[in-house]
Amino acid sequence: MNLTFAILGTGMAFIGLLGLYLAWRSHGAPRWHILGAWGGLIVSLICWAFAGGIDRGLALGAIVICLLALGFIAFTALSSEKGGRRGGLRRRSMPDRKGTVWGRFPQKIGFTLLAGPIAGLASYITAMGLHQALSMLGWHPANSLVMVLFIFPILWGVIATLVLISKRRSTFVSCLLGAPLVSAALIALGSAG
Amino acid sequence: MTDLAIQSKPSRVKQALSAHSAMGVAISAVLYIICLSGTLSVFKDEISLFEQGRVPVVTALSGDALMTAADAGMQAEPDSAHLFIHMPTAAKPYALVQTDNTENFITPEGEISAARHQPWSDFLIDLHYYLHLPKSFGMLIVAMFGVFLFAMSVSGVLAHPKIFKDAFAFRRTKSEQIKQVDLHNRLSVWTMPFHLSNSLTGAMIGLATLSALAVATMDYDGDTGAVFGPVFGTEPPVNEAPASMARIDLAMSQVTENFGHTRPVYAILHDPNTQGQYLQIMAEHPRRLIYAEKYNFNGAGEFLGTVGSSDGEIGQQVADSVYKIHFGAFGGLPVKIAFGVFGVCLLFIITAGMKIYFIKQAAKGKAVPAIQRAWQAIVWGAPVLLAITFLMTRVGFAMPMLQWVFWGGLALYVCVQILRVKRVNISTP
Repeated sequence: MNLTFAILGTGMAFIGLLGLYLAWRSHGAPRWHILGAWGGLIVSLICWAFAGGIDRGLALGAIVICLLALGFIAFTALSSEKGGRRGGLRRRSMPDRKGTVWGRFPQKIGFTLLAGPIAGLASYITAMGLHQALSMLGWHPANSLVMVLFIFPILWGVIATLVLISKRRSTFVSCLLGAPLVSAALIALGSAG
Repeated sequence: MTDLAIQSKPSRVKQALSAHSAMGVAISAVLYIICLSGTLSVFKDEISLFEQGRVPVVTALSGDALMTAADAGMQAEPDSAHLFIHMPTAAKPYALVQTDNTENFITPEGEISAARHQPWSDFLIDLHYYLHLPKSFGMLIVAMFGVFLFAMSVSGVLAHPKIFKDAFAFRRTKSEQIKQVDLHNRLSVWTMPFHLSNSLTGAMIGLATLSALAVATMDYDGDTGAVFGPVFGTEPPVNEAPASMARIDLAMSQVTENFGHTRPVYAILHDPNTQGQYLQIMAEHPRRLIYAEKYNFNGAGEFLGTVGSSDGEIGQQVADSVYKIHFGAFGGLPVKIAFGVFGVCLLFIITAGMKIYFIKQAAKGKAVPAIQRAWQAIVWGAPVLLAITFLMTRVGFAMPMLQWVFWGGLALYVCVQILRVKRVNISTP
């Protein structure tokens, strides 16, 4: 570990976060101020890459930024002004003591739990189609495999979210069928080849 | 911005918030247990050493000690298909010899000193990896929760259009709902690199077998074992004719002489004491995230080449970095402590998210007291039961009793809490 770069990276992370914090407090900081603060964070990551190695250093830099940011949040929380309506919502709330114990809970949970595996199936087929496409493009097997290993959960998460967000039936159907159908075609093409 | 865009944005945010809430309610209970056990698992080396008690301090193993340890390991289980020697490091000043079914600490001379006995560490890891379910199925379930955690991050970002504008807002003294929303959002945003990387690496590890099944069918005639060959290397053909122990000492001395910048962490011998035995010295590269480069040798200790985890294809390097990223094992104790802090933040994010849900439901007059009670039972019951299981191991209990106590205790506590709500409802006129 190069200590000079580590200290420099930590300092730049603090300056970058301080810049963002001051911009947040001023409610209308000029754009150069905000960009400068983000620039500080990027310089911090570069310093950490020199300090701890290209991949490991970046990870260490990200940890430092996150920890410092948590410190800023703790400072904001501790210095937040008193006088707010404590328990204001409780006064407005109308707890349904006599009514439903379970509410609409099963219905909501049921749809989510159903959408999850369906999205999983769609993303599985899509990821395999991508693997087939990358193989056809001549990617090294290690690269295409690892790409698929990561793409599968990413797609799953994104498709599940889109399905749960979508209001229109067409969006819902295209999320679940669009990419998987193209992928199935690619897999069939690859198998035939 | 067009009129349509102005109209659709609040609607999209509302839908995203609804999806985020529904997903959160559906998965929080199990996710909380996975995250709690994962946070503790970051310190598994320290916990397991504490559990084990006194072990011989080993700072280095000579060539003779390595050969003695290998012979001793194979005497403990002569039919084992693998032999592992865990090398001592600065952070772990002890060494072990492991076969398929035995694991023993060794002295600096390579002789077996004590059997590994870490029942609570095993219980904890089994909980985090598999939820104590059958391994392949359990890992798949845990991976699915990794996917859902990632989906929660995506929907959370979509549901929060003022993510940067509110970057530091934390109105601790406002109403309970605002306090919980700020806690949930601020911790989520500023620890996002941690929970995105952890959810994805966890999901990737757990779903790898499922992905390999399809890839094997498409490219390797159904041979799932061959799928990972391009990433982690392939073993030479098996030759079971007997032979003397592989020259681990020669191999290790070559690694220390020719690759001095690395730190050997494991010696792995495949098919020991056979003509086809195949030795890998796994060595850490201190400035990299990769777990270890694998230096391959034949039984005579002749160098055959490396797998390429440190300088091969980018896919190989990424795949080999997954473990250290997931468990925060790339910067010693300071990084582990940071991961511990992020893990605790994630637990707060989950509990704050559920509190927001319950507060909103109550405000709408649609309170769900049974679910709220059940949730509280999990939040407080899981850590208490983990502590109880730990104490049980100190008086000699082991798995599967620990599993029964943990899951049975949790189920009982949840049921009691739900029944208490029902009793209140019945007695309320």
